[in-house]
Amino acid sequence: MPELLRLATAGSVDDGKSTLIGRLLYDSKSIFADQLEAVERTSRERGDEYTNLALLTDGLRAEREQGITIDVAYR
Amino acid sequence: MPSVAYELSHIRTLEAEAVHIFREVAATFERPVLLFSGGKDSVVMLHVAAKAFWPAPLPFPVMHVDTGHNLPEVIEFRDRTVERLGVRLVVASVQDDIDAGRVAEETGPKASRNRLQTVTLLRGIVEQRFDAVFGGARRDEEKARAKERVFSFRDEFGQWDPKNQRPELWNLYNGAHRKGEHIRVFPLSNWTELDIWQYVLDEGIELPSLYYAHRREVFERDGMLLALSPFVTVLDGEEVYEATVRFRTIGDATCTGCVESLAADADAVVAEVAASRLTERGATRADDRISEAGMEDRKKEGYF
Repeated sequence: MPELLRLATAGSVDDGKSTLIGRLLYDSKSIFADQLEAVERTSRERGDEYTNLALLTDGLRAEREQGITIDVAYR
Repeated sequence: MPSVAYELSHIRTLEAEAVHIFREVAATFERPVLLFSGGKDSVVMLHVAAKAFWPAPLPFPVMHVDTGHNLPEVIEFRDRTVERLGVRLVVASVQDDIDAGRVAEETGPKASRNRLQTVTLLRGIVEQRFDAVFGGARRDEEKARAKERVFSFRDEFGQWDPKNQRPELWNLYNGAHRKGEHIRVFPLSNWTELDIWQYVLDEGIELPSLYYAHRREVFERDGMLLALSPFVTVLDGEEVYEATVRFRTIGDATCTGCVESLAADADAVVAEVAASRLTERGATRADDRISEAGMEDRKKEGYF
């Protein structure tokens, strides 16, 4: 097992805290193929021009509608 | 003097956490029940529960929400396990609700009883006046499950409100509820599929044979391999063939697919799961594909 890494982000609304975490998950290859596919599909359907990696942490309806993270957890 | 390592491996840490949760519930609730389907998560959950109270018998019964669409190996395994551990089994049957007209069965070749289970589950909880219901759900399964608390409050209609969840700090669990409401408890929240298999291997836990590679007649639908059974209708253009497969999840036969695999024992499955690029539900569950928030919506209604 790799050593556990604890990470905190701080920033203002819409600064990209969730996107940063999503990108770290992506770059560290912690994302399963079907998860990434689901995020890509949702991004397209929402009309985003890029794959919105914040969707990895924002999975609940309320979070996606408002573009916020309510609870920090992912999958 | 040899030094003694007090550090637990991560599997043992997870086990210790689950044991703590079981004892906490047994100490603070009046009528707990453990949901047991014969699937790997509920088998592991039951195993940890038995360890938590050993050598005393399990201080609560187990309940199976039976869709009537189970593969026969699962029911046989369920009855054998319950008898071995000497626990009381409550069966809540979806067929009873259909017969009584409380739910209407879906029609068409792709009909599934998956969603109907919620009504049966909630009826079982109300009839038996259970106040704590253990489920084997894990955070790593699905994005709505990822955000649910270990002690998850359900109102008098059995509903989960993701916007109004209680804070849960460290291992402090809040089980406060009024009569008619109940708490869903998820002792395996922090386990992953790989942890489950590693634990099955370490502890030598017996699972239904479906979890290991076997020959079976299957056909492809929506990119999933479904097993040929009396509960599914093969549509035109779907070709039935025999393959060596195993199940990654076990649920209603109408919505649970299998994967092609040669992993015939727990050792091989651990190796396979560690190398997998697909999540277990992504690979094999049609019930999550209803919509983007399929699980969240069902959970709000009172699903597992």
